[in-house]
Amino acid sequence: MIEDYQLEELEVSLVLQTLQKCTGVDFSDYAKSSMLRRLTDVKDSHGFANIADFIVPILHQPGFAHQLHQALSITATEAFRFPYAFIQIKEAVIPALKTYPFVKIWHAGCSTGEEVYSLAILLKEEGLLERVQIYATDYNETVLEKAKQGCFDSRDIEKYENNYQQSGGRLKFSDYYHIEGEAAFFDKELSENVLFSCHNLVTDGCFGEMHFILCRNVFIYFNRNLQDRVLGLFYESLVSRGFLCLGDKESLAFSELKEAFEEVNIKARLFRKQPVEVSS
Amino acid sequence: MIIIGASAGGAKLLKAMLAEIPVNTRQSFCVVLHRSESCEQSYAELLKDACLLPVYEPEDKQAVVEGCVYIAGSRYHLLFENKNEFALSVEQPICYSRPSIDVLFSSAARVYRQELIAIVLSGNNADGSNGCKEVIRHGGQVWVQSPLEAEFPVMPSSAIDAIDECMVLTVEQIIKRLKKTV
Repeated sequence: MIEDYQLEELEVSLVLQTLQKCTGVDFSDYAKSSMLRRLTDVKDSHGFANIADFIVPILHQPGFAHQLHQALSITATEAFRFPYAFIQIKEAVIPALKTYPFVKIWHAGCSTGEEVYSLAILLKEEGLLERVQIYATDYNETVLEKAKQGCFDSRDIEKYENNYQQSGGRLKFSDYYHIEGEAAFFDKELSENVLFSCHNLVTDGCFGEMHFILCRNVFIYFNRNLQDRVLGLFYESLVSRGFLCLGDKESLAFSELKEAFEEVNIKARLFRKQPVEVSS
Repeated sequence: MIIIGASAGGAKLLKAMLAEIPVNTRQSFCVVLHRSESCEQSYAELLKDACLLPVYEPEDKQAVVEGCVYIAGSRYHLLFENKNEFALSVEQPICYSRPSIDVLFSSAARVYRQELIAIVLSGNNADGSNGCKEVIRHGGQVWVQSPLEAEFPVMPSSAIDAIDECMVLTVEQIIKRLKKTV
């Protein structure tokens, strides 16, 4: 007899195969444990009894496949998350960025944007915001829309103020937002040089010529294969000596490309692309 | 694999239990302990001095090795990807907790099935109850600290209410049983 866990694995695999056929997105290199949790949550929110119940609507209900794909992204984020990383960015990355006349930054997997605005605040305080172009990307259109608006839950203000202070902020977090009802909005000025756009790290290609890439807490949802592939994409997209910042429990240790990056600060998961050798 | 969930009043019990585990054990232990996010000391440091086994806070894709104690670090849920590998997630907190006991227990339940013992200690919310259901569903065992003994009985009581089959034990009994299994 097939046991519960085998049945679940089979159902997940069938649903993801069906979804791949309908959306073109390959899910087989996502981490299985968190994917099962996501599918179970979405299943419960639809009132489905089994994960396999996704299959018929994916195939026959217009828009469902796209909607499910969007719902599978984990969108949790916060302003100045893990403040230590922002201190290190200020100390190690900003001085190098200041040497360029124009700076391009890619924030991959930006979700609802709190971290993009955090970075913009840091750049503003360092006098760099005006000559920076930030590309903030995510594959989930709903969160991107929210990110564009720059709104966040006003109940998070206290936490964000704390994070901001711990990150070495020069002013007050409250200097950068205003409140409308239950929502708070980041100042428009912060996003003037930010381009929010849809990009899927699994299916889409190189972004080109970035000085700094942030991709925090995205790799944890990928298996090593996919991590390796996306790291390759980042490598291709970075200028020589460009910087990369990952989530504070993510690692390059398993990647073939780890030798191509040097550690700038391991606790902040800050890396720098080794100089590219020019062949004569 | 032995998984342990603890919250308010649970830290000292955890230390007392792990202190009794001999260094040559082939079992591994994986712990979620609720603590304040602002707590400076790392979770691993909290347990290091209390036990003979090496203590780690797993990072993304860290290998699962026998004879070790793993404790979920702050701000991330800890899961088992399979028997060899941990996984992390920053999805929403459960019962205001990230790491959450439910998340760890549920993923361990389907990876280790009959080779799993889940232990619920003192705590002041219901995190862990749903995870215990999953442990039972996949053939593992659940041991719960007696609510009569627990400093904060809500967590053990909720676990007992959530499942039909579990052993309700004092910490002393839990330690005795643990020593037999390791």
